[in-house]
Amino acid sequence: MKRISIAIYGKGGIGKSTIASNLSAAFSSLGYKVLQIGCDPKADSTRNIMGRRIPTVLGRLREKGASKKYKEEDFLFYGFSNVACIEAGGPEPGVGCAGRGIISMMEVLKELKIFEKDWDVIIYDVLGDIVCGGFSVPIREGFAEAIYIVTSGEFMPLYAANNIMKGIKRFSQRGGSKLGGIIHNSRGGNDSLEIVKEFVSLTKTKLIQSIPRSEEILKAELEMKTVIEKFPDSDIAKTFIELAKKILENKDLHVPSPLSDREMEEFGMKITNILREKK
Amino acid sequence: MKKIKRQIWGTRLSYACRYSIDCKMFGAYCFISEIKNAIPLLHGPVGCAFFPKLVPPDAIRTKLLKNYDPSPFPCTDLNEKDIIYGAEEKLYNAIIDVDKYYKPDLIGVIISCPAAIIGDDVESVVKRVKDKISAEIIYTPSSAGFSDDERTDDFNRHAEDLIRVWKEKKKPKWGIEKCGRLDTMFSVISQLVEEPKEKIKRSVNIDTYGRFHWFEDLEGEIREIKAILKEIGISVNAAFPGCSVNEIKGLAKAELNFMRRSERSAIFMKERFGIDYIFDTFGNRYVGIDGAKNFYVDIAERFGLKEKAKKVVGEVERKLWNDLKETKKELYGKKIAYVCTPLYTTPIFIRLLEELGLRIKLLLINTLWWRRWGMAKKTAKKVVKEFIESLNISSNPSIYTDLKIDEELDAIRQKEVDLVICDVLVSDISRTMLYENNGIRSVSPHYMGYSSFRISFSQVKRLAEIILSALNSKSYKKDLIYFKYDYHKERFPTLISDIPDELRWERIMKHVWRGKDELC
Amino acid sequence: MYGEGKMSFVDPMQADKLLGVFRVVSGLKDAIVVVHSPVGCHWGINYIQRLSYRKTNSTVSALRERSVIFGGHEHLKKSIEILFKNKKKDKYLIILCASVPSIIGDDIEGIISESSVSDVSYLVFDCGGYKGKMMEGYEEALEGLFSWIEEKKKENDSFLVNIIGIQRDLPMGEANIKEIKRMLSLFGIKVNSIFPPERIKEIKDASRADLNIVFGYGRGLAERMKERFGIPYIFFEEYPYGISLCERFLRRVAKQFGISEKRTEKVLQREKRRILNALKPAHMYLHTLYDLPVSVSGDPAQVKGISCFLTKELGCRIKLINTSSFDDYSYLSEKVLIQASMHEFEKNIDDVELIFGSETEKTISKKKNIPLIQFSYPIFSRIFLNDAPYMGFKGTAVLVEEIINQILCQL
Repeated sequence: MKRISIAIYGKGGIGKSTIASNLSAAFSSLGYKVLQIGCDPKADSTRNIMGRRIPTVLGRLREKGASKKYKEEDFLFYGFSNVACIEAGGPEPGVGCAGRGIISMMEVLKELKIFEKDWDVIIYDVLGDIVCGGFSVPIREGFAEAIYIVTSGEFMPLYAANNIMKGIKRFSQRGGSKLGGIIHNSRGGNDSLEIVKEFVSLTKTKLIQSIPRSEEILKAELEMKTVIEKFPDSDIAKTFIELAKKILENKDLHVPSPLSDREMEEFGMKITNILREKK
Repeated sequence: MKKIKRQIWGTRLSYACRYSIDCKMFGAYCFISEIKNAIPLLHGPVGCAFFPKLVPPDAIRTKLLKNYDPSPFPCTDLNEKDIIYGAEEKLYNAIIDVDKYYKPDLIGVIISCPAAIIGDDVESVVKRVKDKISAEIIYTPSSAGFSDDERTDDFNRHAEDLIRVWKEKKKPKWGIEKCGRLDTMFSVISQLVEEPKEKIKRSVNIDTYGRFHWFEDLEGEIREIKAILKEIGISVNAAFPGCSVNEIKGLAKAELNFMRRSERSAIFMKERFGIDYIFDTFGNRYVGIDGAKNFYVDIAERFGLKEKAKKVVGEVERKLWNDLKETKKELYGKKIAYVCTPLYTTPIFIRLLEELGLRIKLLLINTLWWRRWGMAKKTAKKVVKEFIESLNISSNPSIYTDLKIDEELDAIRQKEVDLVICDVLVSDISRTMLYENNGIRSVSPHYMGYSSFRISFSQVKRLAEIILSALNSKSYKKDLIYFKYDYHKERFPTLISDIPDELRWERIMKHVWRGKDELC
Repeated sequence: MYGEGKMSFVDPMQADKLLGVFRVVSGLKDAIVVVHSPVGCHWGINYIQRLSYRKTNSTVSALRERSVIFGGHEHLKKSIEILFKNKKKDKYLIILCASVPSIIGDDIEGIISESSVSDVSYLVFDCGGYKGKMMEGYEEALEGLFSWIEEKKKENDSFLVNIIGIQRDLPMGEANIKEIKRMLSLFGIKVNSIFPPERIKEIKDASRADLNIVFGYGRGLAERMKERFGIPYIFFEEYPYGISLCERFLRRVAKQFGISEKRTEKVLQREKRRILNALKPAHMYLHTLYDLPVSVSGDPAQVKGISCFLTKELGCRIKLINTSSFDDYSYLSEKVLIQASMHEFEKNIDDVELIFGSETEKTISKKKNIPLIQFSYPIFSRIFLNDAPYMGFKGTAVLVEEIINQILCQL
């Protein structure tokens, strides 16, 4: 099949890594060869696939310098259901430049021809906010074709989603990735699917899937596993498999229409009203 | 090029290189400047683009392109605002204007440290602008000054390599593959070389080689290679760099690549265009007479012309020795001392001296150059031991290692040699001057135009003539003002007052630049 | 008037802030300068300084790819510890942050406090190349040295001055300073400290002076000294080239010290006589310099100073000035370029018969076959062994000699 490569973006803490790793496991359970690349200095994207933290690309670079011949085995590991995992790694908070780190990592992967292997699916799990050039590398031409933004129905994650859409619009003009759609990660409480649907309609994109809150996800995470591994017959596992299939079949990759600052503010007011009405 | 010019350039460079080392961005600039009618364009601030123009241009630019001025170095003048907001549009416009003003055949976009950190998408800018300009355009993704390259490896690896080459006749593993120039060579080749419409049968590309080698005859080497290959029935498609952009685009027309610096580029051309290659680090295998013969035979073998090549080079060698008959007579039995820092090719050079009829009575080995670059003293000792064991000098010379300069003079006087030959890495010019100052005949073949790195038969003739001329020169004691200053006896000819600065850089190079990351 | 038809690229004829700061601090013999950057930045600026015949007590923190990603503290810490390993006291450290640590935001103070080196006095300059041009760095560095000035008792009845802003790292730099000292001594005025300094002691003792004389750069430093130590200062926009500017300089200084006009004029007349005597052999050629079309390139203080001399006292016609910051030069030259690119300079130089500039103009001078007199930074192509200044009264003769000799050589 033709390879699909996707990048998962969204506000920090929204559940990107959980969704990415469960998606990887889901794809793999459907019989595809999957590579998941974590692009976050925290280096915990692939934890649930591997059952542990793996050595990072940048950690090796720091230790050995780029001139030493890297080997794939230095940082490419196989986890649950033979999903391949790579973690970029990066600096501690407050020092260095993580964005530059992502650029350096991509150079190493290119040189070792990692992308030329026969993957069916590549998933990039990227840091919450695209604060500098480096974090936009996955959505530049040649890496991810489609972006999926994870959000809940709360204001801040939606604000972040809108910002990411601005980035997508900018890069789309020069052959960058397009938006595949929104993945709603339900958080309960003030979260509202209705709000997400409203946002999706305003920004002219589409809602790919809503992932309900689930005890199983939390339980599986505690053991550093995905629900596909821990609770393969659960409803939530089925949801992820459904999401995986939808992504595979999604031909409608589009450029969103992000809201202006004013429009976003107005939308924020709307959210407040909806929540008030709910109460 | 006038001798004095080469000397001044050489002095300036060696002076500058003692206290720091240049970066990949500078290497990238040098490489682009070695392509005819190419302009480097720096995506970066003015400081990086200012100093390269004050440095003497490299040997390939001056000797092969005959351009004695440094290349212009336009830049996008990144300022604080650009760092924060990105400067891709600035780069786009700069490319258009550079094309308009300089009308180059090629624009080489070089990425500086700031541009590399902020992550400007230079690749997409270059892609967008390609059709709007007349020039070809390439960019160098990893030329930022902070990028790693193999020079940052532990220099003791070079020690292992030396031993490997001398004892086991194997290729060195440690090279300079990802240095600025070779990295840029890879970028140029991977982005510019085109799929050929047709191949030129029995043709080869030759990698030229030269940086601060203004004393060497780069032109002569290429001329000789072309002529001998022609006789064998092989043509040279291109000698690069030092050629035009069209020649680089047409590199894939050749059936074979000869590379002596970047195997990475050779591998790329093999994988993309199916071009076979011969790679030898710095051409070690091919220096000296046997080396030169091997060069032509190895190339010819790939075209099924091995026997023809053997015949041709056999004839060239015969002619060479014939031409040298009289010279050899005069050189025969002369006693010489040889001062050197052993390189891969040093045993070959020593053998050559013997073949010319000279008797090496004294061998002075100096390891300062290695130690300056970070080789441990213990390792240097070991390498010297292996070097001596790998030699087989019939005249049974006395061998000393790392003598102080006055001890060297004493040793030379004791042996009563006819001539001292100084190798290029032992501050050859200053040493020659010192010996002559003391009434001892001395010569630095490199200074007189001979090179140990060239693939050439005529070089041998030149060497013989240089040595003969030196032997026949008048020698008398001088009283040079140059030596009336306090130079360090172990680190000759560095003045004692300059030693702290040198040592400071050596410590930083060893422990910081090459050092391990403590937190790993 | 300024840089018409600008293109979107610059082939720079001037260096950046890093070099400006480096020029000021690297001359200190008893402090170590660490350039916090990848190796190349230090190589470039050290190369230029070394070929300007200046030893530098400097090195580099040799940042690499890992430093950019994980922060430069490892490298800087190690460098500092190595440099001060065997030094027990009098530890002076100056850190120049180039572009890389400046962008990634290295916390220099934090790094120094984390290192095992104790009791070190240090200054940190943020001089990323993208932050400004050379003379901005020069100015900032001069001001930065203020932190090391100590409160010192003044001597009684002294006429003590500090000289601020004369560029020492030119081949005739020390000779220029010597000449200025000599001129001041004609009035019994002694020089206390010079900025840029060569010793820490010069900085510490700077507050002893009664007056700061600022030429071109260092006004910020003088202001701070005025504020803190009450030391007044007089400021000259240009360097003292030629008789007229020297007279103006000395008159102002003399007035500041309350020296009588009568005495001042007597001294000046004597100097003038001496210099005119020295210039006599050149008299027959002086009129050939009249209306000679020339161009002048350099930093503002240099350009203003020498242009004043060339136009007013030699009668040359300046066709083009190429300098690094905006100001009014219209009274000196027909055309002015600010921060010109090499290609702009080349375009505008065709009707000039003599270029006053630096090593930067060498390639163009050779290409267009126009003689070049190097007087501004950097100068690689002249070496001065004989105490010959270009500034001051004495310098007038040296400069005229140089100009006429260059012209005669070309014929």
